[in-house]
This record gives sequence, C-alpha cells and structure tokens, in this order.
Amino acid sequence: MEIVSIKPLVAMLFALAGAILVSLSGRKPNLREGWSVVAAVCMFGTIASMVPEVMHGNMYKQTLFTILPGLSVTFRADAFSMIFAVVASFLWILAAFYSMGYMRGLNEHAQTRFNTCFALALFGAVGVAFADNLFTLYLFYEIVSVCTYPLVAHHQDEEGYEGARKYIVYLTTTAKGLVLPAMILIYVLTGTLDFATNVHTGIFPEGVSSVLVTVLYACCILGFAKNGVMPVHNWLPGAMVAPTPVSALLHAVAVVKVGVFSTTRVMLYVFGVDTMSALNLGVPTAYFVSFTILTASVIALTKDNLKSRLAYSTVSQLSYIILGVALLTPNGIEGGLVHIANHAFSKITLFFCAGAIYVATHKKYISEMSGLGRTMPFTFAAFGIASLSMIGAPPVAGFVTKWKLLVGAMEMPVHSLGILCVLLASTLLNVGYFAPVTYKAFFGKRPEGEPYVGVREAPLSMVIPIMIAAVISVIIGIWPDFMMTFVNMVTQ
Amino acid sequence: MIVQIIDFFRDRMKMTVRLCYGVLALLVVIDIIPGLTGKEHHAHTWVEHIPGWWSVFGFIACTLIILISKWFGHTFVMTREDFYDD
Amino acid sequence: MIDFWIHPALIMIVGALLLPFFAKGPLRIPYLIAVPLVSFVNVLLMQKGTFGIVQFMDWTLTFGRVDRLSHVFGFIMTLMCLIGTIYGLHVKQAGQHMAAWLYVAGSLGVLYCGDYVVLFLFWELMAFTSVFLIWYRGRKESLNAGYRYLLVHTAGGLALLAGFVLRYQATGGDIFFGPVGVDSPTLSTYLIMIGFLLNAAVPPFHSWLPEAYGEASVTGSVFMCAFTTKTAVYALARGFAGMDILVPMGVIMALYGVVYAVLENDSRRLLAYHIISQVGYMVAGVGIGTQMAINGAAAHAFAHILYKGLLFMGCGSVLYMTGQSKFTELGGLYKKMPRAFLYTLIGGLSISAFPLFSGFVSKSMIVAAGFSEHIYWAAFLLTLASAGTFLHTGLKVPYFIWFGKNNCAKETWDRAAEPPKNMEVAMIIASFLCIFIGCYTPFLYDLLPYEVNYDPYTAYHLSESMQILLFTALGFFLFIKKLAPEAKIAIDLDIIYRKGAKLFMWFARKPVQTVDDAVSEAYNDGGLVPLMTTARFASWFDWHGIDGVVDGIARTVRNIGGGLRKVQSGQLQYSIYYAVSFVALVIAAYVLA
Repeated sequence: MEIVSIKPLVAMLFALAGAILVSLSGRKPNLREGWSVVAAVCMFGTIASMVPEVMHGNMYKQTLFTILPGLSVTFRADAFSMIFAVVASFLWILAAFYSMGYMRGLNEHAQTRFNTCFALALFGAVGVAFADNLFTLYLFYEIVSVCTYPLVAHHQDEEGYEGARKYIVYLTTTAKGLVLPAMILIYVLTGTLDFATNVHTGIFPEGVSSVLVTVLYACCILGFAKNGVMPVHNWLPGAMVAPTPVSALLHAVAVVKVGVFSTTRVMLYVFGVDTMSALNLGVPTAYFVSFTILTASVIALTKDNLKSRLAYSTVSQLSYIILGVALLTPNGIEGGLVHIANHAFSKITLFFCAGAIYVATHKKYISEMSGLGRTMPFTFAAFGIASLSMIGAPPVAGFVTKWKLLVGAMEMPVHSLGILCVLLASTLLNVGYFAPVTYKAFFGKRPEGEPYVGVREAPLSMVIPIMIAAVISVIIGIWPDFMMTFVNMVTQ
Repeated sequence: MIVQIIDFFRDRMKMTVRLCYGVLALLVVIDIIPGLTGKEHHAHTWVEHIPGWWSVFGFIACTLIILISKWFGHTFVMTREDFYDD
Repeated sequence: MIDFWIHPALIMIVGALLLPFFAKGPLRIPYLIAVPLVSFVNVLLMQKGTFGIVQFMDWTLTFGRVDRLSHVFGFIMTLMCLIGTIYGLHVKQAGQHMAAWLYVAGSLGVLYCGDYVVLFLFWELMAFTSVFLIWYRGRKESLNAGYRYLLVHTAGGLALLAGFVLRYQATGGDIFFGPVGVDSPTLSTYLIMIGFLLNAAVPPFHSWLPEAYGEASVTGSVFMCAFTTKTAVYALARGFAGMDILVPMGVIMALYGVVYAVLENDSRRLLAYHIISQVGYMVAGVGIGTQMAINGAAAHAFAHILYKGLLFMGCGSVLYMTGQSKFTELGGLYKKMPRAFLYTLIGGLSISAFPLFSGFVSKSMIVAAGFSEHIYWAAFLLTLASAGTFLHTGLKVPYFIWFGKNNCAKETWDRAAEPPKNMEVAMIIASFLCIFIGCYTPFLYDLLPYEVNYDPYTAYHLSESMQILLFTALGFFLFIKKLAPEAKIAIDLDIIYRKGAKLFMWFARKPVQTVDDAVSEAYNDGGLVPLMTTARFASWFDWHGIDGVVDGIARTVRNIGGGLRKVQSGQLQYSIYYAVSFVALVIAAYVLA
C-alpha cells in the first residue's frame, strides 16, 4: 500500500536545516555542534518513525514536482530505502559526537565549513535512499559528490587538493559520462525513469534490443563510481586525505553506500532480476566484481598506512554487496543488501579507531603502532571486533553476510564453485591484512625510544561512539532479524 | 631423595647395566617358555609365534627409526637454524 | 534437572569475561580455580539428552547434545582446563587466562553441538582465541608463528564452511551434525573432512602444530596440546567413523611424527611432533570405525590429554625456570630439578604405554581393534611407531634434559630450580591421574561411548609390551651417539606457505601495486595531461600557424584546457557548467542521430 506522506522529505530537510543552522552559528562552537547532533537525532527519529509502516509492507511516497511525464522529483520510502536510510542516519548521530572529539582534539581549522558540508552530504545521501526514480537519484548522487568535495580538500594543502581533484574528476566524470547518457537513453526507451515496485520485472518493455540494455547496464555499473568497483576505485584511497570522521561516515558509510545503493537499486529496480537473468548479466557481473574483491584485498595487504588499508578493504567489501545482488538468487540478494548495514557498522568502527589513534598519537602507519594496544586497549579491542566482522567470523555481523552470500552462490545453477572460491579466498586475505594490526598493537615491541609517554586513550566523545559501533556489530550478528526483515521484504 | 637414588645407580654403572641386561634376558626367556604368556590364544598372526619375536621387533624398530630418520634428515630436510630469517 | 541445563562453555565464557574484575586482589586465585571447577562439576552432574535449542535466522540450533561420546570428551576437557589453570596460576596477565578459557569454551562448544552452525561458531572461537596463547609469549617469532597459525586455521575453517555450505545446499537445508555418510563421499564430505583433518594435524595439514606449540607461552602450550587436536578427533569420530582412508592417514601420521621427532632439537617441538604421532592412533582408530576402535580412540584421547599435558608441563617448567627448551642448551639437570624430572618421566612412560601407566590401557585398544579387523599392516606399523614414541618421549626427552652431556650455560644452570608450587601441584594431579587410569581400568572404560570387552592386562600383552619397550631402550643406549641433539632445524611442509607467502607479498607489492598506481594516475596521465598538451599545442598552432582561419576552433580547444585546469584547482562551478553543456551535447547528438 502506498502512503502519500512528506515524511521522507522531512527527514532530508532536517539535514538541510541542520546545515543551514550550523553555518549560521559558526561563532559558537558548542551551539554549532549542538545543531549537528539535533539534526542527526531528528533525522533518525523521522526515519525510525517510518519503520513500522514499512515493515507492514507499506510504502511512503511523495512527488515534489514533475518536469515531464515520467520524469519527476519523487521520494519513496520502501524496505530497500530503509536499509540504507536507517543505517546512515543512525551512524550520523555517532559520527556527530565523534567528529566533535576529533576536530577539537586536533584543533582543525574551518570547522564550520566542515560541519555544514557534512550535514549537506547526509542530506544528499538520504535523498538517494529515498529517491523514487533514476532522475531523483542522479540529482542527489551529484549533490553528494559536490558537497563532499570541500571535505576531502579540507586540509587545503597539496596532498588535499591532489586527493580532492582525483575525487571529483573520478566521480563526476563517470556520473556524467556514463550514468547521464544511460539515464537519457532509458527514458527515451521506456518513457519513464520510475523504479519498479519489485525486484523482478524491471522497467524495460518487451522487445528492447538486448545489446542496448547490456550497454546501459555496463554504463550504470561503472558510472556509479562511488561503488568503488575497479578500475574506477582510486578516488577512494585518494580521499583518505580527508579528516577521519569524513573517512568514517562518508567513505565507509554514506558516500560509498550511495554508490552501491544506486548500483543495486538500478540493478534490481530498473533492470530487474528477470531481465538480468534473461540477458545473462549476473555471472559476468559477479566475476567482474570478484576481481575487485580479491585485488583490492591483495593491495590492502601491502599498505602500511592504516587508512589506506581500510580504504582498500572498503573497496573490496563494497563489491561483496554488488556480488550478492549479481548472484540473482534470493539468498544472494539478501546477503548483499544486509551487508550494507553490516559493513557500515563494522567499517565505521575501524575508521573511528584509526581516527582515535591519530588524535591520541598522531600516528598513521601500522608499523608505528606496535605495542600501542597496551596503551589504548579499548580502541584496539574495538578494532579487533570490527575486524572479525570484516573477516566474517561468527557471531559478529559479517558472518550473516558471508553465510547468505555462500548459500546464494550455491543456489546459482552455474559457476557456484567459482564464486565460492572467491568468497573463501577473500576471507583468508581479510584475516591476512586485519590480524596484524591488532596483534602487533597488543603484542608487538614498542618502537625504540618511543615509549608512548603521555599517550592515553582518545577523548570519551570518541571512545564511546567507537564502543557503541563495535557492540552493535556484535548485536546485529547475533540478532540479525531487524535488518533481515527489510532485506527479506525486498526479495519477496 | 630422587637425586640420591639416581646417584646410587650412576655410581654403580656396571652393576646397573648388568641388571638391565638381566631383565632383557628374562623377558625373552618368559616369551620362549610355552604356556606362560598365553601366546597360543592371543597371537593374531603367525610371526608372533616366533620365539622372542617382539624383542626382535622392538630392537629392529628402534634401529630402523633412528637410522632412517637420521638419513632422511641429513639428506633432505635438516638445515641451519636461521633458515627462515631474512 | 532435565530442563535445567547450563552449557559448560557458557560457564567458561562468562568466567573469562568477568575475569578482569578479579584480576587483582585476594580473590584472584580462588576465582581462577573456581570457574574451571564449576565447569567440571557441571559436566560431572550433567544428564544425557538434548538441550539448549535456540532459534537463529531460519535454523533451529542445538547447543547441547549430551551423549556418551560427547561426555567422555567433555569430562577430560574440563578436567584438563582445571589442571592447566592451576599450572598457570602464577601468570599475572588476565588476558592469557581469558584466552585459555575462551579457547576451552570453544572446544566444549564443539563437543556438545548438535549442528554445523554451532560447530562452526565454536570452531572459529577456538582458532581466534588459541592464537593469543602463542602471542602471549611475546617474542617476535611467536608473533609471526601466531599469525601463520591463524591463517592456516582460517583456511581450515573455510574448508569446513565450504563443505558445510555444499552439504546444506545438497540436502536442502540440513544442518544436523552426525555421521556424514562415509560410504558415498561427495565433495562436501571431503571438504568437511579436510577441515577436521587440519585441526587434527594430519599430514599434509600438520605443520602448523609443531610451529605453534613450540612458540606458544609456557602455559599456552599446555592448553593447546590438549584441545585443538582432540576436539578434531571428536569431530571425526562423530562424523567419519569407518572412513577407510583415515586408517592409512593415521598410520602415516603416527610414523611421520616419530621421524621428525628424531630430528628435533627443541623439547617442546619434539613433544609437538609426538602429538601428531599419537593423534595418528586416534585417527586410525576412527578410520577402523568399529565400536572397539572408537572406544580406543576416545580412551586414547582421554589418556593423551593428561600425559601430553603433563609432558608439556614438565618441559614447560624447564623453559620457565631456565629460559631454554633446546637440548643443545640443556642437560644434566637432574640435580637441580629432580621432581620435574620425575613428573616428566611419568608422562613419558604413559605416552610410551608402559604397563600400569595410562597409555597402556588406551593405545593397545586401537592396535587390538586393528588386529581383530585383520588390518595387520596398520596394527604392526602402529606398534612400530609406539617403539619410536618410547624412544623419544620416554627416553630422549628425559635423558637429554636431565642427564646426558651438560650443555647448560652458566646462567641457565644458575637459574635452574624446581618450579613454583602451583606448577608442581598441577603436575602431581596429572601424574596421579596417569597412573590411576593405568592401574584402575574401569575408571576410564566406564566412561567410554560403547561397552568395553577388553582387558589390557593379559600375560601375553604384558610380555609383548615389555619386550618391545625394553629392547627399544636397548637400541637407544646402543645408538646414543647417533641421537645426540644437533643445533639444526628440520624443514617441514610449512616451508610451502612460509616461502610462498614471501612470493605472494612480492607479487602484491610489485606487479599488483604498480598496476594499481598506474591506473590511479591514468585519469591524469591519459586524460588530463594529453588534453592539456593538445590544448597548448592547439593554442601555439593557433597563434603561430594558421592565423585567423581556424582561429575559433583552436581557441575553443584552449578554453577546454583552461576549463580542465580549473577542474584541477577545484572550481566547481566550471565543472558543473561543463557537465551541463556535455549533457546538452549528448541529448543533441541523440536527437539528431
């Protein structure tokens, strides 16, 4: 049942209002950060208020205005949107507290600009989540790109500009060069850009040239470069020059999930499972992203910079989500989509930890963190737990994903063993690059002449969000039902 | 006390060694005397009926293990202790 | 009592999680003893039946399947946990106790689980907690050894998981963990078996064991030697009883361990190789698969946990007191550590299956099962391996540590003394049990999964064992020069992944990394730079070449270059402007085409 309601829009407007209020109260840091938190809480509250109805199978919908028939700015809140919206808005609350600790702890400049852009990025991200058609989705996708640019360039040094330039060139070029033409073509072919209401049918009418559909499909996979699929992944490691809260919320949750969300939304609701299996698009996509999964993990092994390693891990893990959907089996799709939530909680924990370490010690490299775990036990314990989730060890969240993906792969009529091997090899690689961070921190010898004098845990405003995120990673592993409800509704 | 017992035997090495040989001989004798060990009922294979079979088996087993292992080790697998450090 | 069931693993987990609150202060020692004791008593009082059924996702999970097979393993595991904790009472790091207890919890969880999901959960728990026992030693080698241990066990866990998933798919969602159908093995059967075999350290999946147990902390290896391999034996006995291929594998294992033990210079690594050898008996027993053989495997696991724990405690106490574990650094210590010698000797005699010691009543059961199934070659080879066991653990270890040539450095010699009280208490308990089990057979035999119709104390068996053992001893003293320890290492199959990992890292660093960097800059080198160059060239051409005619075109190209430069400096309004123009162009192109 469709409920006409402006609630999705209201949720977004909280972020927008938050951004405006933050920018107006730049002189009063406490008030400014207060607005961030208030906006985050209000947004989460609004989204949470939609949960019961959506769980009953209803859908919120509101058209803002129509440009042409079949081309409008419309918002919808269905089960699929909720997966992303709930996670992003909830983690914004944690990130708001965390970034307060981080930015103040390091005495960063331009905190007002930072917080404004942060709120705007969330505005865009939730807009993507609630988009009802490809046009709206594209609009907000670009808003996210633009609003996060100043965040990546935050330090305004050469490295910052270099990273930001790469960021904007990759993201806007792919979006404009691939998604936009694809979108126009889809509109011309089908007369609409509205998403289908189920994952099966898609919106293409009978008799559309299969070559054309395949080309459009490829454009969409590569065009939403925020999904980090190789070879258009390099903007993400480049974006690690940003302050850590940005890397944590945006480049582990909001921005990259905008990418995979858009990709999977288009795969399932524009092309649809039936079209994809008819054209045999699933298996090639699965292998294509498998390459990313494995290669990114191999590269992560070589990175000594902690944030770089996490970035490559993100690249790898994002492809899990697309892989799951590309399997085109119910369990595969469920596994992929639930990973949006599972990866978000675990990866944000990891980035939070990286930031806490940086605030406490100004260290970026793993080799310099030897023995640090004994000084910062909570941070590194959280890091360990989140690593387990990335690895997919039970009972932490990642296991649910891995299990679903494995079963999903088994349900495929062909190539199931190939995908199985990819998933298992990737797990081994995950252990390979995550374990050393934790064990060297706890058991390694402290570097000569650097006994970490005066180093303590990061401020509580950072450690508490870290612990919350880590604990939730465990909780959603043991009780995955909440997220699974939405995910199951998508595949039904 | 343990040390004293050990030292007692170490001080009388000749006697200890003779005692040991005596025990070995006794074992073989027990094995050879028919009906003493119930070999007739318990043995599973014909070789076990050979007098003193298990003594020979034990000694040869020991010798083989030492010689083959050492040969294998020296020929193939033994190397310097810092083999893996580089 | 029927409805009320507490998982012993739960006691250990909760105990471990609360341990930091007792880590300092007067309650530390009572607490450390109380938790394993409660767990042990819990197992003693446990009723048979199925308990702990929990709903998770689409599954009904069974945490508590208590039958005779799981009970005998649970009994000895909780008992060994108590002994091991007493042995480690002096250890101040709370984390090490926590890791040990969680590890035990993992093992207990596997023993009582009724399905593969729970099995996998606890299987991973074992791997991820036991590795801390290696890391706690703190040496650089230990860190690396632990890392490799973790990777190897992850790989084993993945084989198990893959097998389970395949089976899940093939059976339409069956997660029950029971006999897997050894008569018609499929890929899933083999994968699950590989997962178990890796933990049981069956060659070629064994090389993690000596490496890890030799590098673990003193108390760590006492725990490790008891749980991982024996839990795997349990899992094999549960799922793969009667799997024929396990018989040759077990026999090879038994001999393999013996051969490497000859070459080994480190006492704890030697004991580790003898674990492989002893577990070989159990694996072979599972492969034979008759009731007697399964009884034998369970009994041998039971006895093995005690005597191997005792041996590791003995050698561990030497390491703890002197800081040395290599034969080439030890010798002649009987004057300094006579009681430690006595306990180790008891362990050595037990593992060698001397009459009146525990190994005698358990090992012979497996060999006898082999004889009664007419698998003579296996039975004889296992008997041969037992000569090797006595040769090394019964003779070589005590001889070269407590007698033999005194290789001790002065510092080693000065440090050598009897270990702390708690270590001795633990060793006394274990020694007592080794002898008690050997002398009073009903104690162990009544615990076994099936009814026992076997008496090890026949005159023939006694005569046979004594002949083999004592003539082995004769051989030992005749060849003692040959057996003198050498300060060398023997390369085992771990070379494959130790050197392989180096190769892999080179591959990751050089080719993969280089390509990635190249791709990373491609937009710059292949996109922006050529465009800029073209623009500059066009500009130059414009001014200096065809002046006027193509003026407009060239200027446009130059403007693009300028625009791109602005993108580079991050002026977004231009980016957006050009994007919109590009869209217009595409639409125009489409409409016109």
